[in-house]
Amino acid sequence: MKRLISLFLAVALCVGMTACSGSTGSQSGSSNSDGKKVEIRLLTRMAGTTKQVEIFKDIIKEFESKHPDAKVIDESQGDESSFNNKLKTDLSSGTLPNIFRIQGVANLGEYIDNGLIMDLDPVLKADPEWNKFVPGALSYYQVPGHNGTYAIPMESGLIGVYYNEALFKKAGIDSFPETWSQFKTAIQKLKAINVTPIALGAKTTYMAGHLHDQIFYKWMGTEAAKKLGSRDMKWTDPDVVKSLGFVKELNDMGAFPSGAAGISDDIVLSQFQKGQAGMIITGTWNISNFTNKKDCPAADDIKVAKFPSFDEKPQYKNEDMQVISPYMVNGKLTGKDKDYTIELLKMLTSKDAAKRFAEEASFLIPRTDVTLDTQKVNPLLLKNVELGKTSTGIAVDVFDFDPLASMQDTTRNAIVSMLVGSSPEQAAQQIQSEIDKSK
Amino acid sequence: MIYLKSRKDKFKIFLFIVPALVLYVLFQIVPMIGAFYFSVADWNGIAGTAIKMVGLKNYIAVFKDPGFLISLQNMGKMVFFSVLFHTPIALLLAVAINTKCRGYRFYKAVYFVPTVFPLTAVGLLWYFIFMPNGSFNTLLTNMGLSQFVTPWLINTSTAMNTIIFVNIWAGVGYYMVILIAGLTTIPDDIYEAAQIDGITTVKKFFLITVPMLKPIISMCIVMDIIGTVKVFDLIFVMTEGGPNGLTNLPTTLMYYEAFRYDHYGIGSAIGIIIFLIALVLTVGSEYLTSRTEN
Repeated sequence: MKRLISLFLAVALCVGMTACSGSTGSQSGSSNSDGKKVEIRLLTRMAGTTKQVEIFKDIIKEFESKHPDAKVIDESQGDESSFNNKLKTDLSSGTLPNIFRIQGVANLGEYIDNGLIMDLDPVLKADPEWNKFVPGALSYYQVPGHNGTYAIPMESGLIGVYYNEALFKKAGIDSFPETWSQFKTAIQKLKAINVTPIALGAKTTYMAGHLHDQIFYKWMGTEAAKKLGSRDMKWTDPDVVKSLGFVKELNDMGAFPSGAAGISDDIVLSQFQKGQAGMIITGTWNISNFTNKKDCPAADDIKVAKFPSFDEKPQYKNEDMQVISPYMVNGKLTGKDKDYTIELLKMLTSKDAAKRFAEEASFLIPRTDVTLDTQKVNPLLLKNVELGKTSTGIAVDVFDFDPLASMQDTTRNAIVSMLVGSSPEQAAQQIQSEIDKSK
Repeated sequence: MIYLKSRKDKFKIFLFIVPALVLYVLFQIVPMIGAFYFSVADWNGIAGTAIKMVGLKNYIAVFKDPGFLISLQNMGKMVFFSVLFHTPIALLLAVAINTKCRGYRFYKAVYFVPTVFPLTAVGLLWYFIFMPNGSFNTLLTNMGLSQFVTPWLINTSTAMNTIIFVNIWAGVGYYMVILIAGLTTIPDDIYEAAQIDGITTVKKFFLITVPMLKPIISMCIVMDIIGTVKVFDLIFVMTEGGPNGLTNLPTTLMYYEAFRYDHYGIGSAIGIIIFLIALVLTVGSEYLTSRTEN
């Protein structure tokens, strides 16, 4: 009996050891010389139960049926934290997926230098039929200091102000304000009828960040963000401080729900959907949440507009914040792994895919060759596209042009700090000191 | 002490130890050494790139960071209040339940329930209660106490205290169960003898229960210290360390530095500092309790 037990323990140990010893240093995508299936790993944000994810999965299935010798392993994560954890682990362990995404532009340099991201220029040049992307969106991934294009834009759209027209009318506002002073008057009128003017839940700090992004581009233009990133400008420069001051001004006049810094985005989104808030700053990804009357009783009244511009800065009227999300390709791929990955990338961003994504899921791939069926497309998306076409300069977040990875949290946290008492000068100083610390 | 007669016996015992030892070394000791190595290095988090040794630079940077000092202060406060409230409240509950009063099984289960929930679920639950437009503020308003309505999780004076309260709420049941187990080991004869001597219930508690439970109480305190130093999920769910780093703990800061800002060196340095703090507090509390026993 005792012998049996020790034998059992020894076997258990061996099994345990085998399980622990994973294959180390394996490159993404399996080798295909030994007849195994070609593995294509994807790490995107396309996860969940939305229509766009359904289309994404349909395309993967179509690819797999076309190539029985290929297997797509979709490791996409909807949640931002889970996505970041997975991406960082893959980067540090050298197991980067075939197709992935990294937020930002200026911070890509290090990854490019290490050969982790493929230059897609040759692929784009070789296939003119596929290469019909909106030039501005494509050039967004031409990283300063590096030749080439390092991502394919897979999502775009104006980040604008979605507003409840019925509430605006009730408050005596005839049309959406076009200038900052009109905007402030509208906020006061909405407050007068006991409606939260702007649904902003800054516990999820991106909401505060996006508000400042909008103000920043209308006040200083999108080029200024690049100057902050290249250190030709400082966060403590008077104009930048002033842009932060506008956020503080809105907070002080009660434009946000009380205790906005402690409320999360889903709660304010639900308030807006129920018609308890006048406006929300968001992007095309939320359009589907504004159309279903069951979840969104205010669906019929929701309209979209550009963020108001400043009277004294008409030149930046059409400097807009847009979302641009990328598909990047692992730079270490070769042979069949590379060919199949590129083919899947093309399928995911093709003309047909773009049409389907837009018409069925209100999800916009920035292509120039897609003719949308106006009967099928959501009117909010159509309006969004129309507004987006007038942009003279586009940018995502201000920190996208900053080489420091910590700037996403630093800038957003500092902006939130103004909602709980800090001055614009203190917020600017906090951000600038993060930059100075890294020197 | 068991005396091992032969090499065969020794081998058998070794076989029993090996599986746990291997797992422990592989998943505890090796990563710990790894963390120490990274804490004195500068690395961008990309596999295959050079890891530059920088000595104590990361530690100096950590201690110069005002955000870390705030997190350290928060941790100190959290450990202090957790130790102050967890075990005493748990002890009172344990003694009350141990009287086998009517419905004691029900109360035991109810007080233990928060421990069964994952801390993330507990955090979410209390977030919905304490958020600015949450149920607690609504309750205060409905009771006509609107002057006390405050954004509990973002107000500088209440944010950390609210989280500490939730941490205490979530942990009391755990220590209560340990102490109930301890109480059952105290022989009834002692209480009966005390009864004959005409001792009061309060005196019984302080002169019999507490001294007899001392080893268990000190174990609870040590576990409490270690557990509180390691709290991460509660903060992550309730405030994400915000607003503006006000409620960060070294654990959340460590996560942000390593996994969000690509500062693996600084993240590891914070990890080592947390380890040292837990070690010092544990050894210190052990020393204090053993000294009072002597």
